[in-house]
Amino acid sequence: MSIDHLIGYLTTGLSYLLGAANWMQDFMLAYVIGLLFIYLLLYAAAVFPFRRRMQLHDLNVEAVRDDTLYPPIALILPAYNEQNVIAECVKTAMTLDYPSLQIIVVCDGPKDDTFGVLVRAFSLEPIDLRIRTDIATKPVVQVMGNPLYPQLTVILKENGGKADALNVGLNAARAPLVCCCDADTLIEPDALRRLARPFREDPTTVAAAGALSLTNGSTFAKGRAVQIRAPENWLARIQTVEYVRAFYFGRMGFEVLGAMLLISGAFGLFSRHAVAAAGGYNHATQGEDMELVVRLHRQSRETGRKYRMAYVPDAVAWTEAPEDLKSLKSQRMRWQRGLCETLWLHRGMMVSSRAGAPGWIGYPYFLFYECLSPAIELLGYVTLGIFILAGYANWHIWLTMLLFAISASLLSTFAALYEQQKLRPLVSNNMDLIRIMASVISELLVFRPLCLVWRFRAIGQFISKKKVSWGALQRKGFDVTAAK
Amino acid sequence: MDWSSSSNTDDSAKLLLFAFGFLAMVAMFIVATFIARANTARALRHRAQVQAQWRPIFMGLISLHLLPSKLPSVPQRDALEFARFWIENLNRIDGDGRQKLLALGTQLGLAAKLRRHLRSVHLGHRVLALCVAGRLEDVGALPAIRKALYSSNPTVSFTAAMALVRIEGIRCKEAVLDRACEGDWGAPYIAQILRELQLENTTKEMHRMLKAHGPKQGGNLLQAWAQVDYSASAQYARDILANPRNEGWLLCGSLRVLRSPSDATLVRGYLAHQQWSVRVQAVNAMARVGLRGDIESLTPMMEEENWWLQERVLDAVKGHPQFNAKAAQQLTRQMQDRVRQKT
Repeated sequence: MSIDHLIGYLTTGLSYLLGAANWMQDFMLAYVIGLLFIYLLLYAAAVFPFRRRMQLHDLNVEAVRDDTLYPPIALILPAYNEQNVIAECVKTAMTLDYPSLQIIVVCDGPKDDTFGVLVRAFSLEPIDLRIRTDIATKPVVQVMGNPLYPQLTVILKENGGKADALNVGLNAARAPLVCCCDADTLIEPDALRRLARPFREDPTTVAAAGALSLTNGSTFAKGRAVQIRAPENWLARIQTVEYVRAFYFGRMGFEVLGAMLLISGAFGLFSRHAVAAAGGYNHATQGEDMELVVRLHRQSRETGRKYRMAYVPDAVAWTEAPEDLKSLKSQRMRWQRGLCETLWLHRGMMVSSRAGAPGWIGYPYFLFYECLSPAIELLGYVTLGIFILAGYANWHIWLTMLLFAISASLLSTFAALYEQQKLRPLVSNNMDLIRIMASVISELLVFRPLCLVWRFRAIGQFISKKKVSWGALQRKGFDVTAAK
Repeated sequence: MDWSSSSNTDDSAKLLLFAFGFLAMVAMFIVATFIARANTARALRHRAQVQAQWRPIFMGLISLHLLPSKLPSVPQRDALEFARFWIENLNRIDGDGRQKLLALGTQLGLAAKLRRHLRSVHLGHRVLALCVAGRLEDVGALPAIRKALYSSNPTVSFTAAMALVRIEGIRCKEAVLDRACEGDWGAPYIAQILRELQLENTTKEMHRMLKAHGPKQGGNLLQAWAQVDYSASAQYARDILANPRNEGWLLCGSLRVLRSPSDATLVRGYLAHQQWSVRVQAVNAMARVGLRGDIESLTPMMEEENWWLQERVLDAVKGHPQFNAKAAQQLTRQMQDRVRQKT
């Protein structure tokens, strides 16, 4: 082959590459404009209905015989290696202000002394409780209780994963509503009453999502936050911003549009009947919480059943965010894998004629702006690199893209912070609020790129079907002080 | 897209304008967030102050029947928070203590202070004002209460209904009961209205309402009636079920009421009704009242085409304490296979 031929091939190849890069550039511009448009749509859709709804927040004037209006709830706490926090969690759960509450702790074959801690803390003895077999699970080893705590049941089972533990809880539940919650989640005393409200008001409700706040940096007593501070740890501060944006912006908007595909596994209330009819939680995915919600949507739509999924922003539970990079990486990669698995399992939704808002709004958003966003963003950087190397970089268009992307992120974050402040204080003082706002910068510059790389790797793990465990989260527990 | 033309200056101007606009919006949100935080914190402090001021007075009044010699007044700015705290305490106590709190509310002129909020755009303020007007039997508030009765918000309309019943008693029964049949109040709320009305002849009123609003609200009304007077509502249901040619919604509503094992024979007859919705309610009723043999006889209904029927049969079978666990699991697998095929 002569030099001329080689140069010819290289030139042709370069022109094709530049053509592809041009196409990618146009796609990226449309992508970020689309993101900004979606965020504006979510905010516009949600802001007035939710503000109107929250005007009745904390108001329960006709409370005579109110207790009879609340359906019984079974609170399911799956526990695995939680010996440091489990007793405190169960004690707090027992102080929840709810008329009829059954607490089921499911110890999923823990390697530490989680089960022993519970047995000693509550003087539990073996009891004879018939557990249904609606949903197939790993065998139950022992069921414990104490007549002094009739609402508490502790089940020890063979290890089978969180989904399996939740299914055992569903089988053991005696209430029409089940609240699936992480063992380290601290539920506010009146949160369940608020979360049960949609089920009272509308019998077609199958699920209700609460809001999550972070315990990092705050002090708690008797199940309530006595002092809410911005976390000292920079990672936790950034995650505070993330959680506010997710719960006071994203969830609100999608709920109003009827496209809420995610109810956090740390705090969600479901109709037991609807979940059992859907087959319970799915073992095959690490994102069992989202997968269940998507399956509920799909099944209800396929069978033509009228249903509702609600979001209750004033029903609040507290959870701990990881403060070290290793735990955070493990968590984010797990979430990304769970998201990929769920969207893959239910890929038929996007093309189904019956899918409605969940399939035509929720699914595409989660696919392009959550699941594939690491790949799309990284491709964007590669495209920019190609243009720079070729000397064709059009800085106007790339600046425009950057501006739109930053606009979308910052506007959604500050709008969420504003809406959240109208409802309840995020932190106890202005300095902490400034520190949290300042974290938005480090989120954009440091946190997002880090998460981008991890999530991209998780997509690779999903595609290669690599089996990965949950990973361990370093827990500090709550800072619990005696009330003064 | 080609941005490399000589309009670069225009493009830069547009970009700068957009950047400026976006920064201005972010700045607005930041300022608004601090203001919102301050307002929320101030509102919480205000609430705590009002409660701290009045809690000892309420406790003294309820426990020791004592009032301070110089009772503080309730300024207009505290009226809503005071009303909220006052209603919370009213709802917690009964008998003599409640009467004393009501008398205190009258003495402080609470109803007059809140009258301006009866037509407020703020739902929470409106509900508080309606509730206080009802508790204190504020006749001057009647026009606003009657208007609120027809509000599209069910909390506002229900609070207005309770207020109207407290003020006018049985005289408002037609208006309130007709409003109850609009469909936005659940059965427990209708039941509460029925209890509050203290009707002389609930059966007669329920017959009237079912005749007038049956097709839309029959099920809800029967459920509400069952919460107030189970034996009368169950007898009504049995009379309806004695004639299988009654309308479907009436049969469904009647089946939903039955809870006694003695009704199993009556329910059994409806498992083969030609309308699927009636068969569904019959299965639900059989799950409540049937014995093991009755539940076993439901299992052939798993072959029905109708999704709802299959689900209800499965629920009835799995939920029965006497039923065989293995058979229940087999039925569950059968059901899940069908779900998988369908989805």
